[in-house]
Amino acid sequence: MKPLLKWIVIALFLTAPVTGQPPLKKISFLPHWLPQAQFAGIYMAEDLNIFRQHGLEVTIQRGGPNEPPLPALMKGKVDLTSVFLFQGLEAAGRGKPLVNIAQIGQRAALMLVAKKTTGIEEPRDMAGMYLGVWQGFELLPLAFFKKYTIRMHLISAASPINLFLREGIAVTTAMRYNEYHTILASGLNADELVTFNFSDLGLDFPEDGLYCLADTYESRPDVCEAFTAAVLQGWRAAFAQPDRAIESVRRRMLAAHVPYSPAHQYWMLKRMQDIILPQEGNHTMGALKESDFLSVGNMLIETGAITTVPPFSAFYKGKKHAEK
Amino acid sequence: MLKNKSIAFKLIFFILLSSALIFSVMFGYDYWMSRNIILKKVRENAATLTSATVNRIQTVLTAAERTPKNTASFLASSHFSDHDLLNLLKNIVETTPEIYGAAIAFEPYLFDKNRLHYAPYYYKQGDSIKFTWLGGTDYQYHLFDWYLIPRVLGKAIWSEPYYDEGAGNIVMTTFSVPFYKELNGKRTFMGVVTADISLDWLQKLISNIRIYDHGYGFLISQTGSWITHPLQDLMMNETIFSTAEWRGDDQLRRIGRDMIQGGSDFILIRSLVYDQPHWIYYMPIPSNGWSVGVSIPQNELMADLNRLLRNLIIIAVLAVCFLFAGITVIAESITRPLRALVKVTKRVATGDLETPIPGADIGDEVGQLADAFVHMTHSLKSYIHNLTETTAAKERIESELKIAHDIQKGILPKIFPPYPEKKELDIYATLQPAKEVGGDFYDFYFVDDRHLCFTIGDVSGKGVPASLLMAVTTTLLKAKAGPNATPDQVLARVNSDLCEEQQSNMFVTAFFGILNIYSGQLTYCNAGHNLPYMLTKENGVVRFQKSKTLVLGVFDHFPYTTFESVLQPRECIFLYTDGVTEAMNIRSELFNEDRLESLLRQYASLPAKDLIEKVAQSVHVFESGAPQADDITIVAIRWNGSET
Repeated sequence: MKPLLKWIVIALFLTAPVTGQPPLKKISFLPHWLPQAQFAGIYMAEDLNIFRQHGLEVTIQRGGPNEPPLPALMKGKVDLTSVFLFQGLEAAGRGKPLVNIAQIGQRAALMLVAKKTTGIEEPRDMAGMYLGVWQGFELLPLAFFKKYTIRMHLISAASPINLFLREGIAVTTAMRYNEYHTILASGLNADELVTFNFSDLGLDFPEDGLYCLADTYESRPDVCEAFTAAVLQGWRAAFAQPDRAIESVRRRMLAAHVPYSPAHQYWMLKRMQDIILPQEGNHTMGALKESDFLSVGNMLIETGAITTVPPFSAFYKGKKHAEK
Repeated sequence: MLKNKSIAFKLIFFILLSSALIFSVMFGYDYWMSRNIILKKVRENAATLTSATVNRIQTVLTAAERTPKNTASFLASSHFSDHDLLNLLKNIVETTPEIYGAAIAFEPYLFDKNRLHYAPYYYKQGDSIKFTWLGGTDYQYHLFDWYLIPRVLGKAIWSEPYYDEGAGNIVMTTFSVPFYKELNGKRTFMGVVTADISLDWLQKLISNIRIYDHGYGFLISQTGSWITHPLQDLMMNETIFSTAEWRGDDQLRRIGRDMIQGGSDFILIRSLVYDQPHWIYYMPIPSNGWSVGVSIPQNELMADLNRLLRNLIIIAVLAVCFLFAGITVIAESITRPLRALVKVTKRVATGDLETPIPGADIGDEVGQLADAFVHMTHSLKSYIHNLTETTAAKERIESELKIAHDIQKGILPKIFPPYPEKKELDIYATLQPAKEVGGDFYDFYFVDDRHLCFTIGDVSGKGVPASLLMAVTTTLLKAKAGPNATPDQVLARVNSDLCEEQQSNMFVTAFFGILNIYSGQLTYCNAGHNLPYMLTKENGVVRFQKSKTLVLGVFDHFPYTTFESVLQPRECIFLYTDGVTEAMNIRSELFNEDRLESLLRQYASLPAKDLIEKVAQSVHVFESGAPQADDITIVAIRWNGSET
């Protein structure tokens, strides 16, 4: 190193505590599934230094089937995590001390998919048929059965898609951004399928949200708010620069040895935009509406998952929904 | 378009065009047929290769299926202890080379009422056999495809291929066989027997498929996942359908659907690897519904054929060039003499008949044409020679006619006044022939010192014969007139001579008079001529007496009659030929006697010369624009009386 440069570096080190940023606040986050475009906003916040700009040093842990998020949060293995609203609220309703600090997904991406050859035309036609569902998500089809007063044979699976493709079940649950595209990418054409969006069935339960323990929020509200703000900014960046976002996703998928398909990830990013920034309806990005909170609470009570719904203000600590 | 092009151009253009067309059709047909034959052969070879590959895979899969199937049968029909089960399982993994690992997974609490999960698993690791228990809170195996699908479907299945990180990141597939047992009289699902097989060998088998330089094999699973493909990024990441979507390739999606539905076909696509047309052949593996494909580069497939075609095209181009040279030589041999002929013909056309004509010695059509030209120039030369002679003759005749005209004019009195000493007479005459020499004549002469003979006449016809006869007639008239001869005698003698000597059916009209210049006594006789006018003081313009008369030279011995009259001083005799009264204008109207008489009345008192000039001028004016049809001859004799 040249002498002059050396002195400049030393000078910068010496002046940093005086003129530089305050030290970054450390926090860890666990996404609720393997790396994929479902978390593109969070990866963008990391890759574009958005977390740092908000004064955070975030450690993103590897999610997946081997690391269920709520137990990890409860055990204190991680500071922040993401789960579906019904899962977070169910845990809170059962007395777990967690709070929602942001509602990322504003609408339900959940859907029911069947082949047209089953003859299904409307929800009630599915009565008596086999329905595959992810283990742990059974409440959602139960709410559907209740609403349409039908009974179906529920088959829980780690992933019901192959069972569906091999016609072991007539109907499967699917996320529009993920499994539905997997079905299309397995050779079934969209016009060969009949689909029902939960959002169209009067069961529009918002999904992905950010959670932390109540203690965490109380002791470090500024960190939680900074994290939310950074994630939302990350999402906006992901929608603005999809190629950059998919690159962030791809890198993490390859590192995690998760099969990566650009067609699938671009599809997923576009569908995430549909539910994070819906074109229709009255939504505030990142905010949980009390009406959505109540409808999910009612669903949990009706399906017998919980008996009481905690107060909205106790459960939700994120930014206020702005009525348009 | 080609109308104005040269013969050589047309020949070359049409022959080369036809040849090129013929070559194209021949080679096109040959290429098409050869291509079909090659494709047929390649299809057969590809089918054989694919089929052999499928059979090899099927053999391994069948072998791998046998052990779990037998085990499932054994479990269904036997009682076994914990120990038996583990030994059995270990034995399977040890003795079956195809099998990488094997498990027997039971339904919750069915094998051991205290255990939710009961699934012993033996697997190979290096050269040793390892053991583990499957199942736990983070691995509820009965929720996974390898367990759940055979349970729900009630039949053995091959799972979708998957990466097994524990086994060193190799691609595996699992064969799962459900087994059942009679429990309380009810056939009850007990669990599944699984055998994991590594797809390492399968990937190597497919990867080793080499067809030509860039042909390759590939394998897709039942849901279209690429298990083996030269593009590493696709393997276990993409399905044929997501690849089709990413590339916007609908054909690939259709092929993928046919593949996973157990179809088999030979079809041309764009290779995913080389972005070039490839023929692919695919057929399914019966056991698990996977599909093996081979991809054959079309350009390599057709390389020999294309080389053949290229050589043929080079030969064809050379042939066309050769043809071009040949036609050019032939065309040149035809057109060169033609062009020379054209050049010579142009010179001939300008009159150069001595130019030698080339090519007449050649035996072909061009030679015949040149020969015809030689004949033509000879004919032309002969014609021009004749024409020259004829023209010379004509010129000679014309010159002779001119001389005749001069002679004729010499015959007629042409000095006016003819007798300046004779104050009694004022004579003037004019003759304007229609042709070089005419048939009209006039004459006057004294037969003694007091008698003036005068005559006017017209020979039938015109030209040289008429002028000759006119010369004869005037000579005769002069010869026959004498001091004592009366006009009728003169005309009778002339008539007699003419009838006697001339055989040409020509005749002569004539008026002959004798005037006594002292007394004014006039005797005259008419032989078929227009009657003259007398311009008198008392009676104005009057015609001479009409009588029975006949032209001269027709009938001998005709009795001509002499009439007498006496002129008063200053009276005038006006003689004319029918050229005056029958002069015609452009409207075919005749000048006629009325018009003449009116003129005579108007100019009666003028001197003879002025009178004649007025009349001649009027006739000319009347005739203006129309050609003069006949000789115009006018004679005026005014007698001034003897005393003057």
